[in-house]
Amino acid sequence: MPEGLRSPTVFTPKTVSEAVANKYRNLSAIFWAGGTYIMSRPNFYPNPNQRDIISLAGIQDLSRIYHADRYLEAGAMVTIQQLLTMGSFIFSKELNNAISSIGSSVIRNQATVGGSLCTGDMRFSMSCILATLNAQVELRMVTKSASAKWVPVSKLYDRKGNFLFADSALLTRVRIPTDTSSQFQFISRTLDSPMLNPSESVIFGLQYTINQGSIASPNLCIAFPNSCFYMSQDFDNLLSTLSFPFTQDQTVRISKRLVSDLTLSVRQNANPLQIERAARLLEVVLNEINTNYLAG
Amino acid sequence: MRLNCNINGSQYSLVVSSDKPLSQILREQIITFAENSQCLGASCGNCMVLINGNAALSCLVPAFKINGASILTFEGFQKTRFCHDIERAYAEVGNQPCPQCYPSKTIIIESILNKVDKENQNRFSGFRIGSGGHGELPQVQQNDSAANEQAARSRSGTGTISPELIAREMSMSNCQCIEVSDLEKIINLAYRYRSRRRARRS
Repeated sequence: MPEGLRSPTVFTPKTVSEAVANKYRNLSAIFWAGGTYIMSRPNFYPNPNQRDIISLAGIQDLSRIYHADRYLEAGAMVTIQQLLTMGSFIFSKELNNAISSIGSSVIRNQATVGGSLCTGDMRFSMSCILATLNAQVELRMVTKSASAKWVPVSKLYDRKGNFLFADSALLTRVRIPTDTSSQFQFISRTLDSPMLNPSESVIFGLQYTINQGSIASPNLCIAFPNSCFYMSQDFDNLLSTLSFPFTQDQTVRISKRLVSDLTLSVRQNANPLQIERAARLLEVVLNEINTNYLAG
Repeated sequence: MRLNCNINGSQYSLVVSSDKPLSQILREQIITFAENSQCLGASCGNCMVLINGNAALSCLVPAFKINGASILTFEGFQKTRFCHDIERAYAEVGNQPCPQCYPSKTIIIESILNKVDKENQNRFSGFRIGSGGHGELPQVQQNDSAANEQAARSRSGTGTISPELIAREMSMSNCQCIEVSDLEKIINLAYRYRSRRRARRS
């Protein structure tokens, strides 16, 4: 071991309450799920300021998957591969493809659902996918009473994509709507790998339904892995004004509006290539929806 | 922290920092460990090892997670008959990965073969139910849609592994020294050699 380094203490709680109590007593400790994000940081080891670790691997409650009529509830320690396994029976093909695009099975076997949502300064496609689907998460607050509350995934991040509950809560469960009777359609695209090329990668998700010849209840989410998490009610309202068939002018007008919104939202932080890619992705997706509608 | 693990068939008892990456432990403890991960955690794919039979990037596995685990590096894997199947397939196709990514690609191929094997076993033996409690869905073996398609194809006799599955799994390795079409041939050949040997033994 290099001189001056200390080996971090590893806590291995068996229950959620125990984990929260550990964190409450030792606020500098970090929750450890799969570890793919934490260990891929360039200064992870050796690091003289290494924090103690609360490993969540021993908590059985966090590894459970529960399926009800209208939703699938996954514990935070369920790996993305396990979610995909269940998803192959429950989710749509598009959603399965979106989840499997997160990485190869080597990464999916290690990365967890909770961990992929709680990464401090970088968004993976999981957060964008779940925000688009209006998924909710249960947070156990790091307080003496360890109170719990359900929060939509879209409320977990600020505009720059920073996780808002980094040291103040433990994410325990994720509830993903799976109501197959609804007519919602889901589209997701990821350009470049958020893990390998975060400064050029774009994650795009759109959920919508078609009602009386126009787009209804759209829910758009665009994320740049390390600089932006964009969801806007105003923009969703703009999308819902579109009636079929869209003209090229309408599509271009909307993508220009997206460019100005994103530029305002991320200011100097984003790569111009990412903004351009997001706008083009929106155009492509709108044209695809238009074509599908016209084709019946 | 003190940890015990099995590396390439030998039992080790190590005292290391609890957050030390497995790749560094291997580099320091195993003299012959030839992995050359230069990415410092950016997932270049060169430090791939098999942990309890599953492929994993050793730079993303901390020391405290390997207590009691069985780790097989490429050096250990090379001595097994499974590696000989893959090497035979390389020779048959007339193409092989470059020396830089040879170990990682070979281990990824092995993990694909294991995965397809498991899929096929599950398909033939039916749905495997785990020890789920009340309100839990049965736990099934890890698979995904591409692997499902693959299992269906091999069951129906076409017996080829889909290029999509291969491309997705190989995305872990950045080196483009070998084409997916060649990898597809290699994997199919290795799978055939393995199946034949298993058939002879049974």
